[in-house]
Amino acid sequence: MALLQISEPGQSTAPHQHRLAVGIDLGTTNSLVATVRSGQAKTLQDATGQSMLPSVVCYDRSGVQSVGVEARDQAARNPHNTISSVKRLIGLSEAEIAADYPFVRLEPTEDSVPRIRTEAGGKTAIEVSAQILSTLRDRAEQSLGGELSGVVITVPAYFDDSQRQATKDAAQLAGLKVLRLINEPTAAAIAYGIDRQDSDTTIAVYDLGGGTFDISLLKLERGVFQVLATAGDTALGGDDLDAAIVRWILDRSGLAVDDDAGLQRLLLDVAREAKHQLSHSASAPISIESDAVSWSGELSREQFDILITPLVERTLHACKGALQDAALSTAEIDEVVMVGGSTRVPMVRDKISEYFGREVLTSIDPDEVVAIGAALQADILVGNKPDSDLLLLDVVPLSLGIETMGGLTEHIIPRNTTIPAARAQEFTTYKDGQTAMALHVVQGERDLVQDCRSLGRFELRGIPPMVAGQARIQVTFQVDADGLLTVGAIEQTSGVAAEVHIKPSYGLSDGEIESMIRDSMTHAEVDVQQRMLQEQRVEADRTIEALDAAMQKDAEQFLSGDEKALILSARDQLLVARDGADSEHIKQSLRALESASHEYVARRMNATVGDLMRGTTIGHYE
Amino acid sequence: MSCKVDQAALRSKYMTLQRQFHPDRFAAADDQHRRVAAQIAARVNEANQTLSNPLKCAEYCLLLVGVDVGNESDTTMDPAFLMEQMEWRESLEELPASGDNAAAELASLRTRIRSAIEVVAEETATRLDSGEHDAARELVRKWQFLVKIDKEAQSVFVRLDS
Repeated sequence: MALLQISEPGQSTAPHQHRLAVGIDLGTTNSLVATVRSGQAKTLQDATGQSMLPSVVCYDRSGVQSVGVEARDQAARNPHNTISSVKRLIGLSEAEIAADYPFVRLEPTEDSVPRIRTEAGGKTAIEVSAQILSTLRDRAEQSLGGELSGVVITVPAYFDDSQRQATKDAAQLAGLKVLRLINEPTAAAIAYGIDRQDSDTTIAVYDLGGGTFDISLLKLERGVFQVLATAGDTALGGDDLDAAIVRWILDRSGLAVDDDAGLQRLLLDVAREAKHQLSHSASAPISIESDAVSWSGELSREQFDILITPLVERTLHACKGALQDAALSTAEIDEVVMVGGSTRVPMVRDKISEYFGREVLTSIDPDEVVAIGAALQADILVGNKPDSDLLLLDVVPLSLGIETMGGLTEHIIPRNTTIPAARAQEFTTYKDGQTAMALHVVQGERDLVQDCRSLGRFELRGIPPMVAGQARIQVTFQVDADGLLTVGAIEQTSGVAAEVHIKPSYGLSDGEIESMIRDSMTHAEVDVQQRMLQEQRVEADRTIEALDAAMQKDAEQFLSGDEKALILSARDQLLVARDGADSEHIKQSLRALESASHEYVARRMNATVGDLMRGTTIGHYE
Repeated sequence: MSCKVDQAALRSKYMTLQRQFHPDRFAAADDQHRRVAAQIAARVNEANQTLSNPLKCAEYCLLLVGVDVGNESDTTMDPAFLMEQMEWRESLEELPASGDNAAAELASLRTRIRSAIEVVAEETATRLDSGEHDAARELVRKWQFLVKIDKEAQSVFVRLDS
């Protein structure tokens, strides 16, 4: 309960202590972790010096067998227990996975979250992502020599509420405290310092990764990053460039791959190597040597450029579409940021520069730029830069609404609303004595509910029986800084807060996550009990210290004698619990103190608003 | 009362409040503080969105004196104004799918819509200043119509341009 923060925004309770925070780029093909050390943002490497962790997890009968390079390298031998590109599946329903990714083998399941079949049992996309995240967490904690205070994780700009929520759940499962989810193109823009420009800027972020292509158009207007449009191709990337070279080799050599998986792999490796070489030389020698075949040749950059032209044209087509969506011409783009390893290909850079009519930004490693931007933001959010003035404001990427009569969507929070945002809408009952009401929450721009994404179904129960149309049920929608939605409801005439039952469409409930965390902890070797007790004690100390400081300052101003006594008694109970050995007891006492002092905290904050707004009315702005 | 807002002053006040209360400033704080901060930040965002949009601001000014323009049951309207609206709408619909002619015609239509908005906005401000709330209400309703047709013209423009 860091009450001190009110007067000192951005500061942690221990302002002089450097807190460990990282940025994570959780990618479809590869993932990275970066941090700020002595003012410099750098990616962290594994024991073999690699920054990139292949986003691949392999399971065996006893659980997780390997993550990363090892998992990727044995994928061909063990395809049914190896899960790659799980980011494509996160936050999707079973029906969506079956339609878009028919080759994914799902375990039949009772609950809403689809499970991918492995020898170790059905695994949700959230659990698989959590494995990747905890591998990166281990790397970071080893490299930085301590526990992480928080992370910033990047997600694609077009991710909707369920995909963002699922990503956050995965982080929680991996034992990470998420400071903020930020959009990948926004992170790339931050890495280049575009957020520190004074003038309004329109930015194109061209992201050609291993297996996906995204173009995002952002507008930075007085501190607010707004996503104007996104377009892309979920099946276009560096892998397609490799495949084009393989086809060329087969064509020239007359070799036949047939079902020879070994030869196929060899060809892909050779092709990738040639591609890398062509980024800095005019031609690349190619030689295929194996037991059965032997061939050598040379691929010039001119030939390579011809091979990949159709692929680059496809990305330009998507750029054009995005510009049309945003009603912008190429001349209105101020900066073009290149992201993803495939943007190292000289022809890609040339074509994009030519298209946008300006030099593209490439000085930061395109594989690392997103993680670096995330790390810079994490460093600020965790409180290591109390003087930083930077504030990253974001908008709702897709409109949030509910289903009304006839399967129509009623938008409650429109797209591009600055977040956090809150809106209230009033509903009523349509039958006499009706005590419950079902609400369907959706996300999307279309008028028909069936064309939008279903986020969840909510049932309000406990409405007092009344004549039809008399109940006034106020439903509030709140979107937090990560773009995540929560819904609350209250019946106005009676003041009864209706219970909100949330059935996430394809997410995990809080209870499920908690039990998963507990399950994973029993497998861990650390003494869970001891660790939890220690954490609760630290929290208790921090809370009491902050409360004492605040009360000494202004308890007389904001609290009546009774109120003060109530808070002090809760404080003393927490002090007693803190010295005991029961972490659950400390947790409960913390909650009790929190609720006893809730009003006090709110009053202090509102007083600050009052101070800042003093003398300001609409008339004042004349 | 005036609904004219100094946008520069609004912007600086808005940023001051967001710097203080944006949940990012409470990233390391407990849930309770984050919740209260998020509520305040959401209110600040809403206020900014209302005050930075001239039409929304005028609607809000009327709401303050008890006139709810967003929730209108009275549908009568100045016939001459409605006639003009219908004509504009027809010209938008009859615009050729492409070509220089279409572009020129659209540009001229958009100029007319924009200047009509300016006139209505100016007039609304005057009426609000002098406390003529009924007159202001009528103007705001016209303004709403004009903004709607302006949006439609904008989307036709994007279609022609692409």
